[in-house]
Amino acid sequence: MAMPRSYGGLSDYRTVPAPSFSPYSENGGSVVAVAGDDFAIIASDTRLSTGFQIYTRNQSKLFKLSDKTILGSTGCWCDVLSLTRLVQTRIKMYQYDHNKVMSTPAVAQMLSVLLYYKRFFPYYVANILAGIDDNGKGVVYSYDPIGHHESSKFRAGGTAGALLQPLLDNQLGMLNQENVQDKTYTLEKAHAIVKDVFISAAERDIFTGDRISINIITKDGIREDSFELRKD
Amino acid sequence: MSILAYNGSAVIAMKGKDCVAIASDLRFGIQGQTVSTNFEKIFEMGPHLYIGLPGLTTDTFTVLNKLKFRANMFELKEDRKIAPDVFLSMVSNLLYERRFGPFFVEPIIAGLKPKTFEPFIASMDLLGCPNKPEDFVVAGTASEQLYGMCEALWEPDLSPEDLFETISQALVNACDRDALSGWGASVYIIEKDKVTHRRIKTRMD
Amino acid sequence: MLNISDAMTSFERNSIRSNDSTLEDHQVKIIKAPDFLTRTLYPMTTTASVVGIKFNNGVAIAADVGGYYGSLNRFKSLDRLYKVNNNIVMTTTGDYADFQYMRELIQQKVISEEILDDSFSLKAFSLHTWLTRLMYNRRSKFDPLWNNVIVAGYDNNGPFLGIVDKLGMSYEDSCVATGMGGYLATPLLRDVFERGKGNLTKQEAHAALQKCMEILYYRDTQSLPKVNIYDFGPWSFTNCFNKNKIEPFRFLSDELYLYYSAKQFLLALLYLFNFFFRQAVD
Repeated sequence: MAMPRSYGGLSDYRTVPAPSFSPYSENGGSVVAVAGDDFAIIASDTRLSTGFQIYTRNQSKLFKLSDKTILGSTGCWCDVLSLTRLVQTRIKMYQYDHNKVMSTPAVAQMLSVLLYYKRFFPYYVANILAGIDDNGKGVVYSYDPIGHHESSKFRAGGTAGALLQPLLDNQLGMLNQENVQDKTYTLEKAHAIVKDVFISAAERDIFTGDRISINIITKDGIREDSFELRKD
Repeated sequence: MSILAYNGSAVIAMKGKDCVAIASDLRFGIQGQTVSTNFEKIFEMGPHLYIGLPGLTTDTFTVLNKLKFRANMFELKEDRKIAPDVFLSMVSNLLYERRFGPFFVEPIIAGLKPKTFEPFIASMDLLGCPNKPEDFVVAGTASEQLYGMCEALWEPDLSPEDLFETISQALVNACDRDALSGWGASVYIIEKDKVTHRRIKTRMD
Repeated sequence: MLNISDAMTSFERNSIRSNDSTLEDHQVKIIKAPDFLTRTLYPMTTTASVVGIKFNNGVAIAADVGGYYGSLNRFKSLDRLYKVNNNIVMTTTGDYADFQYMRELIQQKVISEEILDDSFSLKAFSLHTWLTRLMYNRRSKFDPLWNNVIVAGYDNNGPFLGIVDKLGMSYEDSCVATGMGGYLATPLLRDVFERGKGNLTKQEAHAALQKCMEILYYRDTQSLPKVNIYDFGPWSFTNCFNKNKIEPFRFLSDELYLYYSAKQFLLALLYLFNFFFRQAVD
């Protein structure tokens, strides 16, 4: 609880508070990624905002890094832009140095290093990386702003992360459900659940809405899809 | 960290068809340290009236005692049981009396109205601002997770059995993603002729 | 309070004592005092909202001509729509001095490019990206340029409309607005744009911008009823500059005025009719 500041005496009227500079802003947005046996789905909403102002209703937060890797990134949008540029550049450099496309696990490790490089002036960003690994298996990595990361089957991040994650645990991980033998899921089921959880998030999170941009990664390439959310 | 999140809690109430449900977790902790795993946060205030008091535990008890006193005084004066909507006004009034030095609780009320047995749910912030929606109310440290779960799982006109399943799934899965709540759960299904209280086993970490 | 002269003398003594062999006798070693760095903590002379919209084959942006010193209307004829080259216009909301500095930088960039004489010229998209990097680098030094920048232009890829803020946060959209315009103008522009199904005529776009500037004049205390509008499109890569003074005190459009007049007239007729009818009954 923030304590209220005292407002007493004339001196308060004389001092005009100068607008202070903060290098960070919260621009909102949510990302959900799901890994399957031979696919990965990653989706983000397309609303870019600060506070009660919507900058644009049409800004995807997904960044294609290669034909089998996509990065979803939300938070401070200026850091998102700078970080994703850096990652894309480093992936190109890797390709020119080694004459091969960087694998998803390699990108995942590199992203962690790039984030930790700015440990004491961090990129204020929530990252989720989705793709297929060298064996064609779906993988999802999620990060904190300073580079800690873990691999998981599904992950929600961004402003509605806390709303979405328990739902994914329940519907995809089948957590707290009795007599479930088969815990695998098809691409179609994952796709439908991703849409459903975003509809729920848009009801309660003002930073999530307008539209979701969905990317489905398989060995055949990336397929794009779009789905309208509420726009208020 | 906010004093509201000092002990950790999750409370939720839902409307069904001719029934309501109210549920809470059973943890009592002091920040990260779990002290008790058998701590009820839901209290019976009448035959079809329950209140959940998530927030700072010391205030849970203070508010509960003050409310019991006021509800008893109401019963003596009026010679009838207090109705849920009237009780809501009473809680709201109690909390707003302490507008500038609030009790750190976010009450949730669930019950059936007398005579009509119409379902009633309501929630409040710590200053007593009431909220009476048509679907569900949530409060506590896991409120974000609960909103996400409820928004997807809830649907209109659930039967008592379906309502139990829905509220339990919403609460348990939400608590599993909150470090400060969980460690068992307690669910009340309130119908016209019976109230069913069930304890739910959950993961204990 | 810090005694500056003491600090300076200790600097000088150090520099005299240091037996630097690379210095000639007449040379003085200049040490830059590290603590005297200044940075913008708040804007001084500021400028108000900018609004911009894309239309069927072009883009238009508008800005008023005011320069403000706190709440004082200090300058009344700043032309801050900066025409970068034949297909880009750029302007800012915020500190006017920082805008002038950016204008110098861009001017030099354009000159350097023109010297090459290779028939290539800067594109709006490229300038937008470059400005994003400029703003981000300055914010990372905790020394920001206190502006929101709008870049508009037209090239082979069609119309371009983008924004960069003082942190280096940038995006492109069909409708943009800065300052108070972000709250008052964007909803209006988006409404016009969606009604026109993203295919407005140049005239409709101009009308929408003028309406926005009019509303901003009514509601934003720091604004003037004198507005500059720029537009770009394939019809020419030359200057389409026009100065346009909006009528500040006309609240109703012609159609609405006619509608309300007619309504009042009919109501009056009804009243009279009622009056005589009652008299006849009595």
